[in-house]
Amino acid sequence: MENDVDAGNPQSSARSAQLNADGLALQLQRTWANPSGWGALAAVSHGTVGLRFMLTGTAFFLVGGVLAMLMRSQLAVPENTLLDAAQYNQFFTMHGTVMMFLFAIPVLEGMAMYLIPKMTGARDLLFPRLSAFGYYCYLFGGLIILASLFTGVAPDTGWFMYTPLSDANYSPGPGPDFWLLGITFVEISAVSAGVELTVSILRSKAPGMTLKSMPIFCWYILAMALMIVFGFPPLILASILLELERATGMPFFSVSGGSDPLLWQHLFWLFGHPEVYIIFLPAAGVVSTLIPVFAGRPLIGYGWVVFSIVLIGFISFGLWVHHMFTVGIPQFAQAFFSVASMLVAIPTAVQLFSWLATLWSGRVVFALPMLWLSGFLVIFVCGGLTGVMLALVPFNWQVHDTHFVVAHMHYVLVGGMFFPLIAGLYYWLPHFSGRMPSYMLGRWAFWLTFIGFNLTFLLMHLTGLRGMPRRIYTYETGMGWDWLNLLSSVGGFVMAAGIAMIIVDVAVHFRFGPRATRNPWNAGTLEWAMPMPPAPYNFVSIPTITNRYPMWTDSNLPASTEAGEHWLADASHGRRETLCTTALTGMPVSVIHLSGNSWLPLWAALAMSALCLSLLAGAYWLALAATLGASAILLRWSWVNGVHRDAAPLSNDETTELPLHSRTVEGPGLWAMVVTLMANATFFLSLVFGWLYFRTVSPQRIIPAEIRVDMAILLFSGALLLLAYGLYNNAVRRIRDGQGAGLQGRLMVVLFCGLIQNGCLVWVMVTSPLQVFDLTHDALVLFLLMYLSFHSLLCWILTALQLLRVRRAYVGVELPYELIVLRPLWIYSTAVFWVGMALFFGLPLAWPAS
Amino acid sequence: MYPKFMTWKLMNSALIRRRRFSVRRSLLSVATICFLLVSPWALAHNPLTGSFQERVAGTLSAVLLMGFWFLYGRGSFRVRPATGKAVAGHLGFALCTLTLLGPLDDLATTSSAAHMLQHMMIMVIITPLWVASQPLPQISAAGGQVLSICWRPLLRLAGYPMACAYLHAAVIWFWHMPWFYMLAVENPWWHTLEHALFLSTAGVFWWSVMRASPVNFPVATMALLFTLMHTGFLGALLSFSQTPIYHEEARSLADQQLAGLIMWVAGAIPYLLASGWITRRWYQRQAS
Amino acid sequence: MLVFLTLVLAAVTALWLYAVYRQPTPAAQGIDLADNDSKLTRQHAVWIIGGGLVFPTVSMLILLAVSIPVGNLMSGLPSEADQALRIQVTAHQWRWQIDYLDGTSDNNLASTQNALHIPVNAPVHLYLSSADVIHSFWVPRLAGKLDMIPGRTNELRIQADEPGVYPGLCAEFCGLAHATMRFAVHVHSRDDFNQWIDSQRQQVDTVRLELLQGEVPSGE
Repeated sequence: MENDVDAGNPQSSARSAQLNADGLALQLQRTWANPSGWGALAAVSHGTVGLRFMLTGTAFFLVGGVLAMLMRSQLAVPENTLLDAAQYNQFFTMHGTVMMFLFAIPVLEGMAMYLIPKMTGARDLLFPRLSAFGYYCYLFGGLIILASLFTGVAPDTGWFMYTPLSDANYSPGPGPDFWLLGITFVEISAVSAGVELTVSILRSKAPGMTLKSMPIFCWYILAMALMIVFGFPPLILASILLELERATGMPFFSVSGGSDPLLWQHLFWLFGHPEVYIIFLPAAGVVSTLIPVFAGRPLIGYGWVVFSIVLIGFISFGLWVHHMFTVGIPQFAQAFFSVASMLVAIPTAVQLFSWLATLWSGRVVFALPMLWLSGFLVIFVCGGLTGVMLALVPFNWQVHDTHFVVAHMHYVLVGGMFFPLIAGLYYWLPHFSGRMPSYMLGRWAFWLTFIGFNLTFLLMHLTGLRGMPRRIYTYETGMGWDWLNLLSSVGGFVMAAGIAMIIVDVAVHFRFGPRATRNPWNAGTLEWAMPMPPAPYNFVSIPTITNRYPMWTDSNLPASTEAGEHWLADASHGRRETLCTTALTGMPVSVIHLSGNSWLPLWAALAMSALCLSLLAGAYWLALAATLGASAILLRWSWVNGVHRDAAPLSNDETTELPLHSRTVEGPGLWAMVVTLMANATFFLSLVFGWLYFRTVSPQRIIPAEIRVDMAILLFSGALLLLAYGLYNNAVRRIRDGQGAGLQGRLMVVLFCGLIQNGCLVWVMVTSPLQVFDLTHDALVLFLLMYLSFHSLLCWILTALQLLRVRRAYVGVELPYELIVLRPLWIYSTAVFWVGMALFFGLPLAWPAS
Repeated sequence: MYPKFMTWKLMNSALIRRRRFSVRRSLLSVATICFLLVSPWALAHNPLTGSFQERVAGTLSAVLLMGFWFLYGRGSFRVRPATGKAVAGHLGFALCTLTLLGPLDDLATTSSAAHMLQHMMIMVIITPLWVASQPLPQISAAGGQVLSICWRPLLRLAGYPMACAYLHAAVIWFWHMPWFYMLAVENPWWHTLEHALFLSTAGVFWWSVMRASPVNFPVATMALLFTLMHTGFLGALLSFSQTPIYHEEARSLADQQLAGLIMWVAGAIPYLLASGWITRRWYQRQAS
Repeated sequence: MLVFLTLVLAAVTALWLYAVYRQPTPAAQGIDLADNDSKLTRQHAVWIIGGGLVFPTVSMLILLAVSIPVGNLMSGLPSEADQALRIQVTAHQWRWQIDYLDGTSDNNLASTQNALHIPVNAPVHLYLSSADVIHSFWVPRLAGKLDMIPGRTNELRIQADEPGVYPGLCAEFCGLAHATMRFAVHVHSRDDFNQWIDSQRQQVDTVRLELLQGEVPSGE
């Protein structure tokens, strides 16, 4: 293997240590290797999954790019007939959708998934099967969306899907269904990646690595992951509601039922505004990682950069109305919104000046990635400044929905995301391939892309100022737009040539690139401590890390890591293991046994895409079957966990010093549960916002005079839920105290209460005389009941599963972990039930219909 | 005349004792002079005019507020606060006096925007100032152990930022439901209770967030984000609503929209600042 | 504004390039890599706090101080509908229906399609709404754009200073023929406008009368 660091050492003790280390590496390799052949589809390793994300994202990027070229060809000359209106509308919708949902976010997630464990000193992400599942969801969701393009029924209502244009009346075709279902599917993948990255960053850092001493890139990814967790649920909710409206006619957004189409816009931009920063933050993380390397000195103002990351996260959730300046806002609101829109300039400037200061005080090596970073700086600053212009409301009223905004947006997204991404690609390329990129080809590619980009979009500002609106498939001659558009199109093709050259460069380098030495850029972070390309287990042993640039402070680090001198230098048990440390201080507390290769993620994703396709086809019985199938697979997945013999069965020689996490009362599963519930709570909060919006803002609202739901049964159901929760909680407390007696009985009582409670809820849903197809009010009430019912049912099923596991002795006094992981779900379900009751049925008492 | 006389006397005695302490003397006298300048005008409104009920309720708030301010001022002699903290504390008291007893309180009965401004002063300006001043040592030095019994449960609660955020949210949304909102506008006692609840829950919330231990930093961030978002939701509802929600005949739509914007945009800025502040504070405190 | 922002761009780019090409003396590199708590030096504090916090704050304040009054001036027409001519504009997929309202009641004086006739130098109050999907009303030379949303009515005040024909268009994507959803604003002198509306009015009245008498209006 690549263990040639200490080779040739004459001392025999060192030699035997070397032999041991080789043996250890072999054992690790056996445990961690991906299956070969078709079996590779069952691989779950973060390196593999991360690369798959990035490659698939690149493929989607090319599709989006071809669409862009087609649109630019159409707009090159006035009154062109290359594309007709229908095709053009599909193309710009798909271009936006593909680039946002299928390229930008997944590629950045993939990059984060690949790098985070390597940077933090972990052997893998904490939920490897979830990564694989997320990848397949993304792949299948993306393919479903693309399928619509190739069959000519692609969505054609813009990537923002404004209602009522996207509802069943005005878009009777299946296009929006493809979008809504496919994107929701892809978002499941994004949220699962968000949860996984959050927990992995917090709980699997190397010993000694505190939040304060972790690489700055991890901060960016932590913020991105949390923003995904909080930012995506509003869109998931909106998509589900709109799809329900399209499929069944429940009027969630349509005026006929009393709702307001603007509700969609609020929910959409509640997601859409953070989304911009979700894309920007990881790219800025690349910049903050690369600049210290090429300046040869630490990032100046690490603490201030952390400050600005947190601030950007907050600002992005504060105000989403930027995108809705023209919907009719009060005149005096201008000043408020302008101020609020400009605030984000402050944290961005803090980062910018931190980079400048770092470069200023270092001796900069101007390698290829630095060239791309310089391109990033020019384009992104320019995009930021046009953003400041757009924040001025009167100016916005003129240029909103013109090509000026198109130009601004591309400056921010291409400048802020694509250029750093390519810089990162060239920087980490040796990590993927073990070879260095070519400076000559790379420079050509850069200049072509940079010039092409500016030719296209700098001129487009002017086109916009001259009044050319967005999203028109053709224009008349003589408006003063002709030569601008022609040059923009030429620029587009120059940029495409540049991108083609990047691809050629990367492809060629795999064969002809010079071999990279270890740590070729002389970087300071931990991912360069491994041989290239890295082994699937990342580290033979996990070192203790106390500062941000371990490779700069400890030149012996790669050798000592490979010699097995640090943590977890034992693989005889055949388990995949990594360390679990405390979130803030990096103290090791337990050993996490990770799940290995499995087909279950693929089957689960296939079952869910079957669900998606049968919904598209309107085959609801098939959809039901697919749902049951998917549930069965997911339950099987959770069954082969913990101390199941396929995972980490109990053995006699278990240490108590650093126990396996499934033997403890606190571990990554609990954290993931809490983070997932935070996403879920955002979903619920968005629903509550929708409900209150309907009651207060919708101009045409229709609110029935009385509550048409059997409140007695509903309250009885709530009381039972409270009782079940109390009993469950009591069982968990007893088991934590070491009292295992009567656990099965208690769980059975919980299940009995839960059964009646679920029955009551279903009874209320079925018997209430709600006019769900006529009134938005009733449709929302029914949706709430379905949401509550889903949670009650989920609690019931998972508790039933726990009962079975208690019987099998997978769970018990010594192994309380899973019961504890489940507890937050019980708390959450009970809480949303009562909050839902108060807001949907209690509120009308204090706030009668008006 | 009673409350005015009382406060005069209290302030005078505080002034006399203060002469010996040169550092804080100037500070406190500035605060006091400010207060004295506004007090006749401020107090002229609520406790003295209006109905008997209004007068009694206004007097009660004034006495309570002045009482605490007096305790804080007196306690400052026994336990010296740092200059910055003393400024924050007195500024908080002065602003609170202005907000609760000043012209804003009268305007609030007819204007949603003024009422919202009053609420936002309490929720995002005054209480964070108090929390920043950490007034408890001073108050308990002057008020003895009896008072500390009152806030001991609150302090315990402040160890749980999310719980404080939920409590605060419940109070905010409760008082913004039209029925309860109008109840507070029309009845001075309910209005006093409303303010007391705002002050106490906002105080506990800010305490839990701004003084979170390093271990609690992530939770404090989440609590702050949650509060930012739900107040934003409320503000957005008010700014986008096309019908007056409160007291349809008396309040104009524009007024209500302004109220919404005050909450959504102006109110968001202190939360944003706080997010940066707690990050800096945590960063500097966490031992590495 | 443009000049200022261009200057910022140029300055930042120049700083970056200079910072990259500058080769400071090695003395500047004496840093303790293991120290995670190092304070900013004075010079770095100037960079980050001065450049990152103070500079954007100050420049934004200046920009806002200049632009908000300008913005209010730009849209400074009074918003009350009292004295103005009142016109209801309803957007359909993909045409504009324009109804001229009576001064006092909401009676319809006249209707046109895809052509908005207004008098010069007089305030015109528009009620914008939509019959189907979301559209946006935009006459680039008269006013900023304002969305037309089903179930809502947005109000816009415009005033044209010179007679002529101004192009107008739909600025919110509204489906297949969005690109061709245009209209024209015809600005007439006051007399011409009065004449025009009277002729329209007579037509409308005739049609109404005929309808009342149970006759189908003539004309093919």
